[in-house]
Amino acid sequence: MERCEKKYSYFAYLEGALTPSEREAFERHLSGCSRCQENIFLVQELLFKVEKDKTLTASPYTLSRIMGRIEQNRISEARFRKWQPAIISLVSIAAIVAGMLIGNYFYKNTAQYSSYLNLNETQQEIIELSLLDNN
Amino acid sequence: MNDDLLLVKRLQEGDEKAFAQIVDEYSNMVLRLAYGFVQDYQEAEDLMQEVFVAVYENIAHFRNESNLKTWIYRIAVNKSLNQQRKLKWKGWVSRIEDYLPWQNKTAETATPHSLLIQKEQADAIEQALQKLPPNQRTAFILHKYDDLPQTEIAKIMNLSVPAVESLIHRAKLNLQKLLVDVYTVEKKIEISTKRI
Repeated sequence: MERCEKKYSYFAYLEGALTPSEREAFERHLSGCSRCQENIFLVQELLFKVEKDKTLTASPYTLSRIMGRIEQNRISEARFRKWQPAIISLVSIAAIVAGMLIGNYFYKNTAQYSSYLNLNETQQEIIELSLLDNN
Repeated sequence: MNDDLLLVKRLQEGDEKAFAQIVDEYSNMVLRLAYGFVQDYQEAEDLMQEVFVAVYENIAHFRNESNLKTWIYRIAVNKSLNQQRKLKWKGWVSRIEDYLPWQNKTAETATPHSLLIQKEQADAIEQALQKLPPNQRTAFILHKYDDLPQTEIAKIMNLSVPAVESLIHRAKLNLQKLLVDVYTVEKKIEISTKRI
């Protein structure tokens, strides 16, 4: 299919927003341009679809479904409120324990490492040799 | 006091009949808007229910700065945009699933040719709408699906009227381009699959 380099607003044409002279010029072009004919068909389909979609109506059970959801939300909120103090306490305790464990782990590692670093070279050599001897 | 404000006041005082009236009056409007965004009836219904749950739960915070209709529209637009973000993610997941070897792809190829063309066009329209930037999409949907005047769209989107006008204009130009691009790509894919 041939390419069409001209830029037309198909919406403006279909919505009747073109001036009579613009409309006439576009229609003249349209009669000889198969690309524009196909493109305008797509935009027209979109507008038809929108018109069709406008007729959508809500289900007659909408209100009862919404009320059901609201009730469900109320129940879960009440349940959450009931358990909220317990959940908060548990999370706090877990956070404290985790903090203690992590702190302890880093303290131990740093202590071991720094005590090793505080040894002088001769002392370190003695330790290394004794370890090698043991093996 | 106008009818809407009276309804709000009654609902704030706990009158559930007022809520029923609000749902009755605005459900179709919200459904159409949601459908414009998600292009799926079930998703749109679900979204519409979410909007009214939010209206019910937040009615205490409603101040008379805007009217009830504009307030509901704002909630609906925000929820629809959020839902679309979720759907985009779902789309990615399902696209990945399409590549899984145990997925059955025979159903689509069994569709009669005319139905396939209709489906292609519907898909092209849907994809083109989804590809519009959120602001343009919102303005276009409010303008086309709900036939709202630009002044009202401006209030809902917290923008000036010229800004809305420009958004709608750009939305139409982009939509036209996207529609043609998407449809052309789909056609090319169809031709290449036929060759295979």
